[in-house]
Amino acid sequence: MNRKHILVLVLSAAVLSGCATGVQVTHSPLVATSTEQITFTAKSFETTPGADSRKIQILVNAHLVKECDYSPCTYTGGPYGDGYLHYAANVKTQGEFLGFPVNVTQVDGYYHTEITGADYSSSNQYIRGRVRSTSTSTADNTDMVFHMSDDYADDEQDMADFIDDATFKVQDILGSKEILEEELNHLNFWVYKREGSSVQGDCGVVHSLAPSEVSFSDIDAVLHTADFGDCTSGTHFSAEGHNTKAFLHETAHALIDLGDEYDGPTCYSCVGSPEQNIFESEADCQNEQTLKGRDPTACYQFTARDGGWWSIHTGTTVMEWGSMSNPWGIEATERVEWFFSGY
Amino acid sequence: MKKFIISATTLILMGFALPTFAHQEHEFNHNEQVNYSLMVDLAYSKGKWIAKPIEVMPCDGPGGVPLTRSDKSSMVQLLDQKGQALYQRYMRNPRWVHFEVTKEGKKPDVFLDEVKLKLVIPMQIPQSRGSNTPMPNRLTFTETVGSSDRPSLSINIGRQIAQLYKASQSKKDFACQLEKVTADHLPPLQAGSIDSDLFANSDSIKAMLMSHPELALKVIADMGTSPETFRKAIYDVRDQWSDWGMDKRGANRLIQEYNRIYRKKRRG
Repeated sequence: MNRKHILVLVLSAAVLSGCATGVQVTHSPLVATSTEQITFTAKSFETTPGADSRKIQILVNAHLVKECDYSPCTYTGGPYGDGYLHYAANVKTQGEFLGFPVNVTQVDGYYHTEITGADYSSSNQYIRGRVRSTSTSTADNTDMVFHMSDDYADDEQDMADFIDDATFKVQDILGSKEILEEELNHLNFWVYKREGSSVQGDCGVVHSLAPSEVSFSDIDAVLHTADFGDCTSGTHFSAEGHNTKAFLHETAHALIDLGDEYDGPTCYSCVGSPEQNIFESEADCQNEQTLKGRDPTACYQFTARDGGWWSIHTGTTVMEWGSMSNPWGIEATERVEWFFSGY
Repeated sequence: MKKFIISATTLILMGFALPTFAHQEHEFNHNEQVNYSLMVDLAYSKGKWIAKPIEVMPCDGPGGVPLTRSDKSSMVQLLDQKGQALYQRYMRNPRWVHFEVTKEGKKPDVFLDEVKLKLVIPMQIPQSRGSNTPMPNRLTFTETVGSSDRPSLSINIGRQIAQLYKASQSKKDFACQLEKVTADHLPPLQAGSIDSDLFANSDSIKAMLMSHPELALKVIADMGTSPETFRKAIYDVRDQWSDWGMDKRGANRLIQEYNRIYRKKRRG
């Protein structure tokens, strides 16, 4: 192989790295009992140019259980016996570039989930929802623990309803939101069985044993059934279990340190840096735009509070409101991408 | 850019050698030593922060990518006897309650006058007298790192950690002890197939070898397959290499990696 060939190889790798296909696999319900079936969903993330052939594979306990040439690829299996269930997905892309064969396989997993006994009986008070396998420590990922507020019982709902809500948060919110859905492999999801509580203004209160039993937790999400204004304090936040309200926006605060983009009585200087999405001076905002090759006149003062804060976002964004249909916006996108580049 | 370089490297390896092998580096960088966590009661009252270590536990502490510094973020530091930071993590100010926007509007954020919380701080404790691992000695908590370089709280906790660690040794179980969930928890793979039909008789392990080489190699090592047997098994199915997306160089790389895993496993 001469230099010319090597150059072509590197070039083809460089060009095709842009069309490499990623894959994400999730399962539902987040925690299953030994009497329930589980549906695995693998989604590929494709960009142009399209490959000649693309296959998504779902593997459960090291067995290939489903192969699709479309996305999303789903497989329903089980019930599975008590213990840990491992699963993963591949997307295999084959093609040709400048006469050279290209054969790319990308992987998501293995993850493990704990299959509990009936009534969610388990050896520990925490249950693994979707946790990366083969890691001896949880330190490599961000661990989000779902806590059930005691108002589920008041509302005549039970653990199964709470699991449904947690599944919804993982699969349909975080696992379906652009950028986050491709980075979901950096997050571990756990369910804690001891009840917490939540009323307006307390941002969710975890059980007193949670600090020791789920000491590895990075973020504690306390889900509740009542409808009230949610908040964050320290590492814990409250959110309605049954709808998207607050959860996406709140996770963006708690996980990524994004600042609010609305005009209201909030803490703008709590935004994290670098790659902050809001700026405390017009000059800072303009410098950022100039640095990124964008129009500095796009900067505007979106709030006069706290001495005035500037940004370039327009319309309704995730950090302005928080609905799934809201875009991140340019500056918030850069912050999210910067955050995950740290993994 | 980092992503681009990784992607490009990945593609070169995958396209012309063994698919997915670029994933190995991350997977093999395990920290296999015992992790401990220090639990601290932290409280704010009457304009003052106080802290008290209450437990040393053989447990993982928070470990994801932490928040970054902002004007209002808080910072926890664990320092050694020389004042070097062994651990540093930014967090949202525990006194700050951030309310979300609702249809009814936005409730103003507040800073609480009284707060009680438990901090969990990951740390290493030397397991032998001659260890080079520095001992944690001081805990600092800075409520707002953006407005002050002076910690809101700085206490010497070296002696307390030693006492709590000693006390923890007499306890049998800690609820926080996470079971390691690895390849050991996969179902048994064709017991006894440790010769050249290792792959021919096991579609599942072949599929796993294609998709998750690092996990597959561990499973094979767990089955007691010697490096020589593994090498023979790989070469006995050389007619299948192309189906696996693998050439001779890829096969040899796989064998080398297996040798490394096997040696590591034997060493325990």
